Amino acid sequence: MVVRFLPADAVADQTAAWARDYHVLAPVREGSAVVYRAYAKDMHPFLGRPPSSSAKEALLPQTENLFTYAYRKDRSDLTRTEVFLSEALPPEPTLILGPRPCDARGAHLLDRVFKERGVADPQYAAHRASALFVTVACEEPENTCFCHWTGGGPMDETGSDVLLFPVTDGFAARAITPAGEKLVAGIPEAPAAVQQELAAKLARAPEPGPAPDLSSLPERFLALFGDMDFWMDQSARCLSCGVCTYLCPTCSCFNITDETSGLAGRRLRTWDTCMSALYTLEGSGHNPRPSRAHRLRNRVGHKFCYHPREFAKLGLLEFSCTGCGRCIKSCPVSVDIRRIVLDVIEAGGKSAANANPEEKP
Amino acid sequence: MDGEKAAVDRMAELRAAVALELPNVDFVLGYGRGFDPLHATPVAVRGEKDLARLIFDPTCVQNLATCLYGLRGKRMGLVVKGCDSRSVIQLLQEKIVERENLVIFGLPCDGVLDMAKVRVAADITRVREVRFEENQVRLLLPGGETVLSRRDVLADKCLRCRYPNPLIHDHMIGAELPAQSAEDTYADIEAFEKLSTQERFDFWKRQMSRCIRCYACRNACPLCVCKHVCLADSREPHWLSSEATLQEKWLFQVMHALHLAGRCTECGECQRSCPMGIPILLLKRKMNRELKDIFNYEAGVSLDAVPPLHTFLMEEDKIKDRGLLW
Repeated sequence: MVVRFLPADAVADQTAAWARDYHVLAPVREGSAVVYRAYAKDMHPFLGRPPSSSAKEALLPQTENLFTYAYRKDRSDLTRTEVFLSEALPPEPTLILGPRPCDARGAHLLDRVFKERGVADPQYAAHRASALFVTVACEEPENTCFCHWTGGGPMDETGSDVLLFPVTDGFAARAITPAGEKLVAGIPEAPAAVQQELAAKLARAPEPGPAPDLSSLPERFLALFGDMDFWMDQSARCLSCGVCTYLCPTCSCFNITDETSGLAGRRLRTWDTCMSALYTLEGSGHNPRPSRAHRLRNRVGHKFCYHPREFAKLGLLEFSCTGCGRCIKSCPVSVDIRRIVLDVIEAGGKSAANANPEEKP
Repeated sequence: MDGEKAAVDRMAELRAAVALELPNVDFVLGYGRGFDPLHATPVAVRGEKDLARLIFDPTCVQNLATCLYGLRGKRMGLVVKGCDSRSVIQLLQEKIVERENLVIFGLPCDGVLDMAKVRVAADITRVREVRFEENQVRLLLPGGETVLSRRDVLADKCLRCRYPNPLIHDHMIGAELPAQSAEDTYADIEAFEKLSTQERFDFWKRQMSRCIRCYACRNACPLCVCKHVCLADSREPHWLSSEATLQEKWLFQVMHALHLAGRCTECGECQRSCPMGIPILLLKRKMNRELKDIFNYEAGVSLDAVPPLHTFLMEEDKIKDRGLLW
């Protein structure tokens, strides 16, 4: 496969070139954060660290207008009201620059939810079909990284159209998909020195250390489901905020609300978080997940038990987590999902007989 | 900064005090080591075996008083720094927690890290080891050692700290420390207010556009006690929509600042918790400066004080009635 060389000082120009054909989201440094911003003239994309948020926004926008509606009274019969709906416009082709392999893999896991459950979600499918991932491969795992626990890797190609490998003074670019080929067509082929550097890098790919055996996790979780002391202990420090779920590349929950003004309005889909008490609050006032313990249990359970069980039919053990570590890195109280998962395996093994599900997953 | 021996002695003193109180409380909430040497995490000490987990150093950034509201009614111990103790006082003053349920371990503190500043100064994502010295922070990173000036990476609140020693405590652990400054001059607010209205508006538009509406700022605030019945989540009345627009994000921050006027102790948890690095403490400090100017009041320093917005005088010294007559 052709390897191309994108010098570091040509990244801005290349981004501008892509922006002629695509709606480009590129990461920029703003204080302590690295934020995806829509392309603007004189933008300097920053590819040196993983963006603060995942690239999920490009596929599942935090706010999405599903359609607009207007009520109109029938003047000849005022008891009759007609409703007019107009669909939202299809999304522009979007290029996401700077996600990491764990983020691109997140798109693959969102597909499971929005495309592979029998009915494809039309909005999601439209975003997905028009989105291109120009991913930056990782060199060395961060303290919060655990992509190798969940089937990923620092140079994993899943979900990417182009992979950029950091090399001296720039990036070695490799197309992964035909769409990616088109994206890198204008980038010159890499000189021999870069080719050699890349080959050497690939030969000694970063060794993130051994991953624990998580194969018993779904069963161990179920065994521990009713052990509220365990979950209370795990969640004692949790603030019940939405940092972990909103930064997560695979969390897919949303809310649907109508924003009405007079006789017209918009139906919106917005991100929702299972860490909020309101997420499961029922109209009656009853809340099946009344405490942080219940809610944290749900977040862990969804990623490491319910998702793998639902998709076990594919013959693989797949977690709804890419190990990007954002939930650890950005948690105000440093809740570490790796620690919880290991504790589940340990404690769930001890209490395998005590499963007493009080709430169906 | 105390030497290493003093730090060891202090931890021994803290563990001994906690051990002494364990029979009287359900648990003691303190700091333990988090996922790497630069991160601490709250830990509950329930028995002697947990004592070894306790730590205290400039990575102990969280204000543990935030958990008090959720743990109302529990008999518990709490480790506090000087700034954290002000939140406890405010919560006691508002009768949200009960003094007899609390055993307070006060730790004099000479400053905690502002992780946002550390992240800008160095790539800490692979930090292996951290050493705190009198004027420096030594980070062992994969590429070698990086030495940061302590003053450059301490939280702003620490650089102007007037209350390094907890104002309320049952056990004071270690020697008391001198204050960093005698008075808060609100120099940051003064400087910000020199900008034109348009410049300030543009600043906030840019900053707030990063907000992801995760409400970490709200949930990390020790005095934001409405929690999940917050008006930000209310559909009826419909103050805010669920859209992630600038207008909604900004409106929430304004509400937050107004609801904390005269209550906020400037612990900075709102800003520290923000995953997108939005400087929202500035809004609360603005309100506090106004409170200081008008009522000469400061939240969380005296148990007996009556917060000015919890009461009123027929004639306030500094509020003109604009000459209007009934």
